[in-house]
Amino acid sequence: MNKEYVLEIEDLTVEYVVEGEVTQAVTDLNLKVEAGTTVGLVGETGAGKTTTALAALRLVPDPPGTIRSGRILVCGQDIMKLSQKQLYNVRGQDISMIFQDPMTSLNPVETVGDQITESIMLHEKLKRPQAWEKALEMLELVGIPRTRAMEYPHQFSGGMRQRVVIAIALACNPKMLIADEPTTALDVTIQAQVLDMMKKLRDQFNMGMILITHDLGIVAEICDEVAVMYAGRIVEMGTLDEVFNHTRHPYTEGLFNSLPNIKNREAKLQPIPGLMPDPTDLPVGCAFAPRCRYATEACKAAQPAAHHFSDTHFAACTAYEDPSFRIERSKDRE
Amino acid sequence: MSKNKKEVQDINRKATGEKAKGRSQGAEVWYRMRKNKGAMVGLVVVVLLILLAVFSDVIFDYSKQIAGINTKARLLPPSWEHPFGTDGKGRDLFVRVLYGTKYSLTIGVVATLISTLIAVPIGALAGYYGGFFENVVMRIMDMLSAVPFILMGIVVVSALGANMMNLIIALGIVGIPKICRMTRAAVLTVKNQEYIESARIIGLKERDIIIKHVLPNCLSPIIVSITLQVATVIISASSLSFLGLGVPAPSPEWGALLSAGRDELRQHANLTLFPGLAIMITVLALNLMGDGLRDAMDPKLRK
Repeated sequence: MNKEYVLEIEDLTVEYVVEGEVTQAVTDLNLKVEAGTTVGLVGETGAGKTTTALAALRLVPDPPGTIRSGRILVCGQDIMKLSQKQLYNVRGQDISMIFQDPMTSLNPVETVGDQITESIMLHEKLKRPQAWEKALEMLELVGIPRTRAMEYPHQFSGGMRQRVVIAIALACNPKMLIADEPTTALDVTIQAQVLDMMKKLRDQFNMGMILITHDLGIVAEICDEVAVMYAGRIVEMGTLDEVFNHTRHPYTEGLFNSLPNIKNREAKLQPIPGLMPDPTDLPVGCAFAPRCRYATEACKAAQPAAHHFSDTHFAACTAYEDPSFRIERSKDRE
Repeated sequence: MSKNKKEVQDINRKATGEKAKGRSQGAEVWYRMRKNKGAMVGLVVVVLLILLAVFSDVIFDYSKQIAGINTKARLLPPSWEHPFGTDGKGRDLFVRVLYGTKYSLTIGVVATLISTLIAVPIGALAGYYGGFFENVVMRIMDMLSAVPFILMGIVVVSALGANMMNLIIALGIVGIPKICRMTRAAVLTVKNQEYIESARIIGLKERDIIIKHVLPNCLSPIIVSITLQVATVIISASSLSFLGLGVPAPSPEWGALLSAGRDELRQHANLTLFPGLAIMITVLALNLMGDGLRDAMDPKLRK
């Protein structure tokens, strides 16, 4: 059976030019999202996750950002070639996005019902009363009583606002949803509720989803595939099981090691030493090499090639030129 | 069970007098404004003045009470019959000052309206799009604000003739830079909010984003500066009338009344005192109201 991809990103490179300095935010990124599945995009702050997401909507702030090269297909349409008018139609209808902070992503002077209605009326040929009715249904779908549609965002709690944001994003049944750290601003119990709801809605609408986060726990809960980003590149990608249980890339290993160990509560955390390289001055070789405990001279000389371990799993690491190489984490497992 | 809960909530709400739920922004502003005594005094005075201005032709007989000359009653001191005294042509100053409200308020409101209609769209576009356009617009505004209002008044009035309409146009132009800058500053703070980005993501057009999301969120500073601008314009108009550049005689514009009373300042100070007081009270009321509005609309003060 042919897989239906709702988002395909090929060789995407995004740069920011600020005062003559070129920042490579995303380099040669490839990513595909199938309908009905979730891809987790994991990485440190500044790794290029949000830029990738904005590029998918062609909303990278320009200036200073430019999409240098690459092809982005949303439901088969190359959005780099669409006119402004077509773009307005694609946004919201085919692809939508929700932001990290529900406190600021709702217009404070408009009722939540109006804000959902607005989104519906943009893309569907509905009269206002019908659109309003549909907005109320969307509210109920995300678990907010329809009687609250006339209220303003400041009358809602954080978790409820995020639900409203989700209702707006999903109002026109987009085929692709990008969630940029949707639960970071929420407390843990509300996080679980919102995640559950997103999962349910994904299955209900058969949406493709990208979940941007730095919380590996959330990834484990909701994602089918995981892409680990570092300094603008995907360094490891695979199914949830492959990345979590058969970790290959030293950076991914570092991420797992820096989590608290629930079995051995006295164990010290093992943070990854050092900081991410300055994105205006990326090294010639592997960007992670300066912080990597397995690094050799070869790592610093050239960009690591992707080594495939299965159809779905690869890691960009020079060390795998030696077929017997294994990182510590997978040594324990095998 | 849930019904019970709702009943309890209703009872609680009634008990605490809480009505905050579902209160629109306008209602909330009104609620907070009502607690500010100064602002309410200002508001009441402004409303009275507006009523006076609107109905002045109904209350007073222009040709008789305002313009009619009565040489027998020249320069009378204040008395019960003439609370502010009479002027050099025997006209009752009290009536003339009250009638003058019409001119001052009309000039203030219309000139501010002109500035607002021009300045808000330009300021909003400049703030939203930025770049070269913004630079050009803001430099033009700098140039405009570098011209003193008296000079601008003299230029416009001497080019077009001394009447009320030209005075209004001159003051309208003078008011543009201030409101334009205000609007731009407000737009700059709003345009990078995430809800603007969200609006883009659902596919809203830039034009609609400005109208539906940016401007409504900039409204409070704009409204406040408009209120204060009306006061400024009234003072400016009086100054220009004082110089003879405004409303021609015998119309009792306050500035013109001041100017007419100047000759009798030593013997009959009441002729300058009362028009001056009228200007002061009006401006004070507008300022109090504007400040109150600002406080009531400031989201930071919201609970």
